[in-house]
Amino acid sequence: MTPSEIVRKFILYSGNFVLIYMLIVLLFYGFFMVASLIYLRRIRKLDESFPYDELLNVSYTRPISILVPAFNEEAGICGSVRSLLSIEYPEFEVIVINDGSADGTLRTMIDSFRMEPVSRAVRKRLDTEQVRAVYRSNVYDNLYLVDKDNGGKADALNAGINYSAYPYFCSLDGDSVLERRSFLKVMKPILESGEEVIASGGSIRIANGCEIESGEVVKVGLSRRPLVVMQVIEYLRAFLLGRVGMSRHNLLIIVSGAFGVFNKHWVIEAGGYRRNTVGEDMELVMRLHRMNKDRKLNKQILYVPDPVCWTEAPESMKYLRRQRSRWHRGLLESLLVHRDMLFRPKYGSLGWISLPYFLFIELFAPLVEALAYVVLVATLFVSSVYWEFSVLLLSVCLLYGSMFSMAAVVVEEWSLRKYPKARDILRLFVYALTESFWYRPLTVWWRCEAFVQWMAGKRGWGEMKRKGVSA
Amino acid sequence: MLQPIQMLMLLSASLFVLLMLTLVYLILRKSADNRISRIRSAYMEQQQKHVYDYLLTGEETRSLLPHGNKLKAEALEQLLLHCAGLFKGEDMEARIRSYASKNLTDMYKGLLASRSWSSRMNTLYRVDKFDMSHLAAELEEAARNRRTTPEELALIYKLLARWGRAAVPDLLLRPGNALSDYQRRIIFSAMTPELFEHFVVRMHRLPADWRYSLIDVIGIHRKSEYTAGLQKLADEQDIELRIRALKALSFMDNVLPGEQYILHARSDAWQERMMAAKLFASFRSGLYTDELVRLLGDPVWFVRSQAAQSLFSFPQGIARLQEAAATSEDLYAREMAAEWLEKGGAKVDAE
Repeated sequence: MTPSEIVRKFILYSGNFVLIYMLIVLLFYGFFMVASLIYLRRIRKLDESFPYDELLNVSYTRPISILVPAFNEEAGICGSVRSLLSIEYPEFEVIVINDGSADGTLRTMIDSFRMEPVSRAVRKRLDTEQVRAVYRSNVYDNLYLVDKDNGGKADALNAGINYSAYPYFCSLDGDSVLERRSFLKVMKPILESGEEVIASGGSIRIANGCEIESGEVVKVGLSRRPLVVMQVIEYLRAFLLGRVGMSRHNLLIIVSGAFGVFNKHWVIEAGGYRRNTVGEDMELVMRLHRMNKDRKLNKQILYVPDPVCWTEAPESMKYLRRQRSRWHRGLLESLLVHRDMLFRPKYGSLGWISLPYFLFIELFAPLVEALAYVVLVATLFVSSVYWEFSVLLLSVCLLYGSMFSMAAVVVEEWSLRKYPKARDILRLFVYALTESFWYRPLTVWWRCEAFVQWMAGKRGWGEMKRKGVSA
Repeated sequence: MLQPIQMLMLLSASLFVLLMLTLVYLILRKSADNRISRIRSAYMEQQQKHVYDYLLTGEETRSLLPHGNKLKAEALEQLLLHCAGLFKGEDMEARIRSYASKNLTDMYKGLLASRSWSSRMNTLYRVDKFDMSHLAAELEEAARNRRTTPEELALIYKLLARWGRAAVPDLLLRPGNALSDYQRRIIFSAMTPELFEHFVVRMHRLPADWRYSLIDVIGIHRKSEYTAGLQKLADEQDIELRIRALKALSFMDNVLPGEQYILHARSDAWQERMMAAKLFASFRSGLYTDELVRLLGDPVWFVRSQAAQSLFSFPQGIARLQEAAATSEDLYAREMAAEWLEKGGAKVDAE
């Protein structure tokens, strides 16, 4: 075979493979999108100010411990804590876990909230690194600070679970800003299900570009930076089109680490957060699902689209790249840990749909997409014979990369309508159209890097530079 | 090869056009909605004084009638909703009810039969806010409609219970009603005393989970007329029933201390021991101090924690806690005692 024949064979086989793969993925996306639309159509006109009066009555509600792991979060931690202290919920405590920060996180917390050491009797049910001291605020009775040796986010959350007093806990990133009623909204399905729902997660939205005053989003806006706008679109797509659909069928294996409520009892039963992984939130949810099936508990894990948690997105390539390769490594690690659930009849639709989806579609997608780009470039150079094929591939890539993002923007405007300005929606739509041409290839590359890093033995978190959205 | 390409291109193009059209429609709708909400706000501002006057004096002016103007009707409804949440008092509530029943009934009847789930839910919340009991028959009909969802049912039951409708017992105990503990509590809490009595009298015929919620609500609302009944329930065979009864008793102020409760602190079920410790706190009687000190060393954390909390509220409790913190052999008992002593100290400071 001559080299040009080899190239042609390569184009033909890999090109066909990529095409079939992408069409299958499109079918999957289409399925989840339809499921989402059905649900959103039902709730979209619901008047959101009414249904929570009763939840404000403590006799009916269950109290929550809000856990905020903080590692070098000096800039944003006080703003976040202040925003948490003003949420609408009848009974809760806030536990900030300082995970051996090297900056002034501990000092800032102690000074801002007049914290003093206390001894707190603890049921230590999860192993963690050494806890140095526990503080309580003199200003707010329900604010605690656990100071411990560095052990990573999962370890910090486990320490928080040990120290928490209430039956439900919520994990929250130090840089998040919650809407005041978010907890009521996320707890409602748990209470209404008679506590059959053991974990419930809300939507994460990007705070960059919004106006935030004393820990509350007062005006929703859109950042001017293209990189941030693209992330806004990605989040819309993931939450509105993906998670709503999966949640309807109890297939959801992600409750975002940035905002989710868990039943403490069942998390402890499952062994708490797993240390030494970067995808501890996903891994925990997979373990909860596994326990649910193993013990035939018939519990549910739910996603509620409306309670929104605003979070700071990386604004530079450097940090975005780290975040994306970290997320992808997290996915890889979680799937490896639970690989034996794959295609096991015992795990039902989880083993047959959810895990295969995350394995073949989420995990391997960047590899296949990278291959698609290689084939595309190759067809352009090799010969004009393949132009039709290139056009075909290109249009599938466009469908795959941009169309669902554009749809997500339209769905957002049709259902939740968080962006008040028509101009913002238009900008989102136009940016979504361009996704396939620049943003998608970038994330493909970063996610491919994750495989390389993983093979090179990298397991840790990269740092993220925060300027503090909630300050 | 050409055909699939053409098909795909066609598909992409039509999807693209479809998305564009939807977007254009949504953006047009957005600006229309923004305009409409501006007009509605103007109406609200304009009518505010009339609505307040009406609520304060009961004097109805012609401008309070929507005259077929939909936006004005919505503005008036919004104002009234706002006031219903804001003002309390029998006169005000009666005027809000009367206005709503005169001007909103027809609209709500239509909306309750709407095909859209959100419209029906929104209407039910308004019927709740305005307390429109003359719509009870419509709600009963809706409750029997197969299309009605569990979320709607929970709300309908609460309203019918609040209005004391005779159909409530039959509706609630229909097979296939999947209500959670949270929803059952809300329904029982809303009930008229007569209906509530009806359920208490027939408690032993209720399904177990309904019975438990009923006992919880007796406790939550401190319905002390049922104390004697609770005392009997505390001796039942069913452990769950005993636990709930003890918990409810701990909220009552007409229970007298007695030796019989000590048995519960020695139960095999830790929840029962915990509830006994909670109940002892409400007596604050020296009869139970030794028992509570013993429970400080209980194998279950929740029991120890409750025992410490209860001891703390006793007149001589602090001394006993200090003693336990200093001399107890059980590490957990010492820690628990210390924590409660510290907690109490902080509270005294804050006051």
